[in-house]
Amino acid sequence: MALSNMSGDASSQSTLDIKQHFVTREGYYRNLPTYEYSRPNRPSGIHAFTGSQPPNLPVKISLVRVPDDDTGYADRILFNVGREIFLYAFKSIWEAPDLSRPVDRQIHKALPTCHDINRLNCSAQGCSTVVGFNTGSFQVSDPRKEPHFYNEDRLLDKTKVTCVKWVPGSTQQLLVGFASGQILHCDDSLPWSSTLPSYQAHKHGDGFAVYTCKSRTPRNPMYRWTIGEGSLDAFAFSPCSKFLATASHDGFLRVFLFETFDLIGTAKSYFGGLLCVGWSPDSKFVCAAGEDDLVHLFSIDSRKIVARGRGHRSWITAVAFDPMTSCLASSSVPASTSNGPVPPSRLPVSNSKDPPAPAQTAQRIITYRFATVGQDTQICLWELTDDIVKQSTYPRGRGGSLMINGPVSGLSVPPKSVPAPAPKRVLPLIGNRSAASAAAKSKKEEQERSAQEKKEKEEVNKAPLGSPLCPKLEDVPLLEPLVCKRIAPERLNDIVFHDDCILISTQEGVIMTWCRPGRALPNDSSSRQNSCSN
Amino acid sequence: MFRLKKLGMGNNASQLEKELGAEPISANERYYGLVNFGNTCYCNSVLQALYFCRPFRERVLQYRVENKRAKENLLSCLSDLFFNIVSQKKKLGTIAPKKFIARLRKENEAFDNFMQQDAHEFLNYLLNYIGDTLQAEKAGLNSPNGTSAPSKPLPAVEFRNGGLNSNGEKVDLTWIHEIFQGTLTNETKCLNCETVSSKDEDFLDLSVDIDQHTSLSACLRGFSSTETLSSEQKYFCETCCAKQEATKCMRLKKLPKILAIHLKRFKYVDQLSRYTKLSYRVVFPLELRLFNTSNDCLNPEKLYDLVAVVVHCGSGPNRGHYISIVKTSNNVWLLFDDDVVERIEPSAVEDFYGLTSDLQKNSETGYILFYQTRE
Ligand SMILES: [Zn+2]
Repeated sequence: MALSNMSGDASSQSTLDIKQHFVTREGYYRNLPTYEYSRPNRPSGIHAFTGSQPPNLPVKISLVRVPDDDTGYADRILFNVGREIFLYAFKSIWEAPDLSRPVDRQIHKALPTCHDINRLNCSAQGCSTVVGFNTGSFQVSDPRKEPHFYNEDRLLDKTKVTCVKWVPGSTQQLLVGFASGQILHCDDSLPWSSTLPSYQAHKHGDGFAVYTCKSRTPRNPMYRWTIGEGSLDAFAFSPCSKFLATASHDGFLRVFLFETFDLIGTAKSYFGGLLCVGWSPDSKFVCAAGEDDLVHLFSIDSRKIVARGRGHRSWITAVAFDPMTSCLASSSVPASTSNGPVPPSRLPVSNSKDPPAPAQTAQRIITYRFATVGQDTQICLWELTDDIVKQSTYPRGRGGSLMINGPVSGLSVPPKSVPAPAPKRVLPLIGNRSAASAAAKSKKEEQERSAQEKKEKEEVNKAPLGSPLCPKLEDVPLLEPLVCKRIAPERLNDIVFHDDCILISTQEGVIMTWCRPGRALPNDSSSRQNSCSN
Repeated sequence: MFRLKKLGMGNNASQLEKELGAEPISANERYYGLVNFGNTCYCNSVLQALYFCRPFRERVLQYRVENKRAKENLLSCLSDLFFNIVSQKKKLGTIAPKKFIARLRKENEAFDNFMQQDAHEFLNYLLNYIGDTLQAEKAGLNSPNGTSAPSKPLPAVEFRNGGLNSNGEKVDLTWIHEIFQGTLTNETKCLNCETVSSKDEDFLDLSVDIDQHTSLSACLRGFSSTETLSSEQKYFCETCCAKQEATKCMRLKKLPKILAIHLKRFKYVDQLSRYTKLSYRVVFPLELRLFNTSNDCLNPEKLYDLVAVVVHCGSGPNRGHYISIVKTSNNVWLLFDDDVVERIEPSAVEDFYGLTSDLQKNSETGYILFYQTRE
């Protein structure tokens, strides 16, 4: 074989072992190439960005279910490629997308980095969305209003936006996370001022602090969180809406009680930054992963890492739990011995906008299924079972005694009400001040803040290996993936579970649709109704 | 070939000086670009990286104090160069490493030309030279004129008998070994009688094979993956007194203070009768622990911080250009491109992971990584 260069050799080799399907005990998962979403008129072939560097920003997916008069519900998919943002009707495995007809398409000057759709404020006609950009600005749009950009002057933060999320249960409140380690909690119905609001400390603890906007009338941003050292790479609300989990470049996973700003759990990567975080459907486990190529499973009940997983050959970029294949305790056959095609009982779908029905909360998940994708172009499927959790006999983590509300049962928590904009705690009274003293005060605040930040830095080193924050490799079970397959020529960026398929985005700007087992395509012989039980 | 982004010093320098000057500084932290004497970037990039390996810098500076009347050798020239940098009044500037280069060309004919050299080969030569010099001085000998240059092409891992002299006797370890030397244990298991025999080997740097879309950790695990010795490669088992199939695995038994990892980006292709470059994307973290340690490893969970990277730009080992990126004592990342110094964001380190497609141009890839133990 004559070679022009070695990398050419490798890529031709590697194209061969890119898998179009994989198998688990419930059956075959298949990639459906004609059901891919991407920017319209994408050049065909493997390398979409032939001759040029693929855009360096990851392609993220937001998926939401909206009410629809004709069919009861419809799905919407939002994703970013390069400078563009696309909103499409998501047809799942039932219809190949017509990429020439997006519901919405925006081209921006800045590069979109992340986005989220508001689950309450969306319909077939339009959706409230928030989009973050590499410049630090973020855009909030509502189908009934002109989209509005914030932080274009970079006064609030100069670094790129890394993660945006609507606060569950609210149509106005949102969190915007930055590479600086800051999260801004904003309310789009409150006034935005053109100057930087001044803040006062509200709450702080190990490696974090929360400040409130110091003004008589509520103003934006309402709260300012500083978390960890370096970039805040990802955060996620628990499905029960009660918790916020953050993954930072300092390697820390932090779990907060969102309403009270209490840090209830901390864990540390084996080394390097954490890049992604995901919750189990019952809000009992958080999975975080990143630069140590490992997945880390943190239990909310015991406040410690209960298992790790090794299978990836590079950094892990996204994690998601699959509610459909996570088994409930009521299933009589233990997952590990079951040869049946599909686990007998399923959890409600992840993108259902309604809270889970109370009848299902009595059941306990005994097998958690989740998936990770990474820069190694691999997908790994993992299973965390009850017996593995029990195996982990390592002492309970620090902060465990803080739990005063009894054991957390995510599904029994009612949907979160919108937190009041003003802090409940009584704040020290501040008398009349001249402008000069205010300036002096703000300088002092600055000093205090830098002292606080320095302290935070020191906190970061307080996670010795072997402590519950960062158990040694041999102290907790090390899972092997159920499935570990290369599925694309480029890095994988994001993963979302849908009732009928798994959506996976690649650095090339493609969103693959992987059909679940037992789902028949319209041109297949079996009918649609059978597989559309939800 | 030069980097496209190359900038002049000019007003850029004063801005950088201002930025760096504002930070709390350690007494001898200076940032000096090194003048290129005709394809000497392989040398400049390695010297900059080593300069920012602080234990190394401190010992090199100390050498000058302790060996005032020593005859000129490459180490004394290096020590003078480092001293020249730390004794500069200004924080930022340019220095011509003239004496060092002249001495290098005199010391080793492999480097006595104006051709581009392999930075890893130079690093290996320099560390071994310093080790040999120190050992010779300890033994009361003069400078080691007998030091031979590593022959080309390099074997997969250039092991040097660091702790042994030419007669195979144990001699005192020098500070070069205290800083860079680790130990690998090579475990061979006979598949017939299951006897495990292990042999230790010392190293000053690790050369690891790389693959597309992998992390440094994955490459290191690959380095320590179990290999089966069969057919032609059968292993002579002393218990069986016969050639047998066996498994072989090489893991780290002692982790060095500074772990220098050479990514094997240059691969000899028989059909082309030359080396080609593997520009694969290999991600390397700012913080590292090793997975590939042996069971009897004394400190398997050592935490390392990335302190310097020698970056190769271009298409081949003897073509292209070398630069380095380093972390200063106040956690600022700097890029040294010969005489040019630029500040980069820590996030810009990812620009040097490599390429994922051979269609991409401008390959600037991490080549030698220096990880230092966190104290
Ligand atoms: Zn034997």
